[in-house]
Parts: sequence; C-alpha cells; structure tokens
Amino acid sequence: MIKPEKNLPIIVVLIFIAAIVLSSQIFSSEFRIKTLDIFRIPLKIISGSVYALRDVAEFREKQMENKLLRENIANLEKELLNLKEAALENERLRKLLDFRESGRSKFVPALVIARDPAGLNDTVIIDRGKKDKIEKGMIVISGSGLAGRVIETGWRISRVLLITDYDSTFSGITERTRDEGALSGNMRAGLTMKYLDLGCDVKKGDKIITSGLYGVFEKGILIGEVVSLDSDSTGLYMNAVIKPNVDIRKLEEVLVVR
Amino acid sequence: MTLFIWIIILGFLQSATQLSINFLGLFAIFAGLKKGPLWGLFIGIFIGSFAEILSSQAPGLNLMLYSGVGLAAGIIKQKIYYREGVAMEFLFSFFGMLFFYLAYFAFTKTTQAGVLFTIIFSSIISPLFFKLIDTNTASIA
Repeated sequence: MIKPEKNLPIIVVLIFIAAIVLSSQIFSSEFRIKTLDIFRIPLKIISGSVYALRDVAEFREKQMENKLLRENIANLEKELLNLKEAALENERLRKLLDFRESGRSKFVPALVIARDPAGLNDTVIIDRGKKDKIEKGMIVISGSGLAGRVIETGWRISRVLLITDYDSTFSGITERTRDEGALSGNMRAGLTMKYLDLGCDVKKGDKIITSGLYGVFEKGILIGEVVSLDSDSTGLYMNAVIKPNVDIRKLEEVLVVR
Repeated sequence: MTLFIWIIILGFLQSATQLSINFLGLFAIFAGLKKGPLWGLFIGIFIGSFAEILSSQAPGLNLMLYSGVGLAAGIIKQKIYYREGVAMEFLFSFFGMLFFYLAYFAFTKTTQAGVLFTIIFSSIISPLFFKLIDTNTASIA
C-alpha cells in the first residue's frame, strides 16, 4: 500500500512534472484564445467597472482636460480648413498624374478588457475579434500613436502585443533626420532604438515614427520621442531610449486598423 | 469551492486593473502555508492554469511558477520553526514573491521595473488578505 506521507516527495515531483508537460500540450495559442472568448463578458464587466471608478476619481482632472480639448478643437478646425484646401489641390494633381488611390484603412474601436495578471509581459486583451474582421498582424493605435499589433484572434476577442513588450521588435525612423534604427520593447522603461549611426544628428525630443520596412507596421505612425542617447557597448552605434507617445499603463480604448 | 471562486474573481480583477499586488501569487502562498505543500501544489496548478489563459507566456511557465511557489511555501513551513503571526505571513509572502519573480527571470532573462513594488505591496497586504481568505474558505481541507 502506498503511504502518501512517506512517498510525498516522489508524488509531488510526479504531479509537478505531469502538470507542466500536460499544460504545455493543452495551453496552445488556440485553446487560450478560445477560453478567453468564454471569459469575455466577466472581463468586460470588471474592466468596465474599474474604468468607470477611475473616471469618477479623475473627474476634476477630466473637466480641465475637457476645457483644454475644446480650445484645441477650435485651433484644429482652422487647421482642418487649410488641410481640406491642400487635399483638394492634391486630388487635382493626382488626377493630372493619373495616380491610383490606395485602399483606405478602417478603424475598429475596441476596449482593453484584460492584461497579463502578474504583469510579466506587455500584452492586452481587446473585446474585438474575427467577428469584427480583426486579423492577426493588424495594427493597434491609441489616440496619440502606435500601441501594438494583434497577435491572436478569437471570435470576439483578440490579444495585442504592445510595442513595449520584450518580444516586440520593429523598425523606426526619426521624423526630423530620417535616421533608421531597430526598436525593441523594454517594458516599463519604454523602447530602445538600436543601431543608429554614430554620426547621426538625432537629439533628445526628436519624434520617432514607424519606417514601414519589413511589413510589421505601416509607415509614418508616431511611436514616441527620444528621451536619451548613448553609444552602445561596442562603440559602433548609438542607442536611444524612446518614451512611447501612448501611455501603455493607462490604455483603455484603442483603434484596430483594418 | 469558495477558494476557487475567489481565485477566479481576483484573477479577473488583477488582470483588468493592473494592480501592483499579485493576488494570484498570494493565493498560492496562502494554500501552501495554511493547508500544506500538497494543497499548495494543487492550488498553484489551478492558479497557474488560470493565468496561462490570460497570459501569452510560453505554455507551462505560469503553471510552474505558481505551483512551485505554493509547494515551496508548504515545504518550508514544515521544515522550519513556524509560529502563526503577521510577521511570519509577511516574510513568507515577501520571499515567496521574490522566489516567483526570480524564477521568472531565470527562465526568461527578462524582468520589469515595478517588480519590487509588487513584492513589497503584496507582502504588506498579505496578513490581511490571508485572514480574509481564511475566514471565507474554512471548508477547504
């Protein structure tokens, strides 16, 4: 007869190994996203309640922000008029040159309903999926810039890899000098832009946009700005620390570019 | 049963709010500490499985970390002179969380800036948390 007390270490080790082996077989990407589809409603209720509570707490701040935004709208409306003029002129010139209009992107609004529970990686779950024609690889933006890209899709839920995650690597350029570098996520520390030329004219405060190379992101989406610059350990290149324009920690609503 | 419902509710809350408290980790430590190493392991496996769904980490990593923490808390409690009290609960939570994040670092070679705050906040809240869970889950074991 097996005595559990006597054989406890063996039993424990066996359970431990069996659980890990089984879990690596069971928890495939497809299984996870399908299970998340079931959890969508409770997650949406909880995250919605938390956002509502946060909004109540930040009411005064929001009021001030609202006032500022109203002022900004007035300025932007003036700018919009100028842009409309430019667009009309652009259209006329395009017709003259016989340019073909590229397919316009559509934006699907989505709500962030969950994150990694232990905060070990920068991924979020959004409440849109295949039902809304969301596909793997689609770009996710927030009001102020690039947020990430879709890596898994369920029927009514998707997982987004944020630009600050360690697994997020893509190419970017500086808006002012057009210097190209490789961007990689550094979690809460933001992003690191590597392989900038030693002689480049990149300065603190320069805006970084997506380069459109390698097909990860479309060209020209705002990523963030340079916070500091330093030469790398080999002394052959410059590295820049980039602060993302999007506040990844406070991401609530996003737009998926379809 | 109540414990599992608590785990799911707080797991959802933790996932939706991004609090600097690792409730799921505390649950695993609680199970090991109050109910023994086997319970620590089983509850850890349940928590790990739940976290696997919400996380995009390599399959098995969450399960290994949470069950490992639960099991370790139970074994260490049996091996050392343990006296019930707030200080012991704080110490177990602190070192349990430290073990959790160090093990994560060992496997992935990555960490995040807020880890220390999470360890400290989780440890501070642990005695109160354990008391709350203990009174609500008296039926287990």
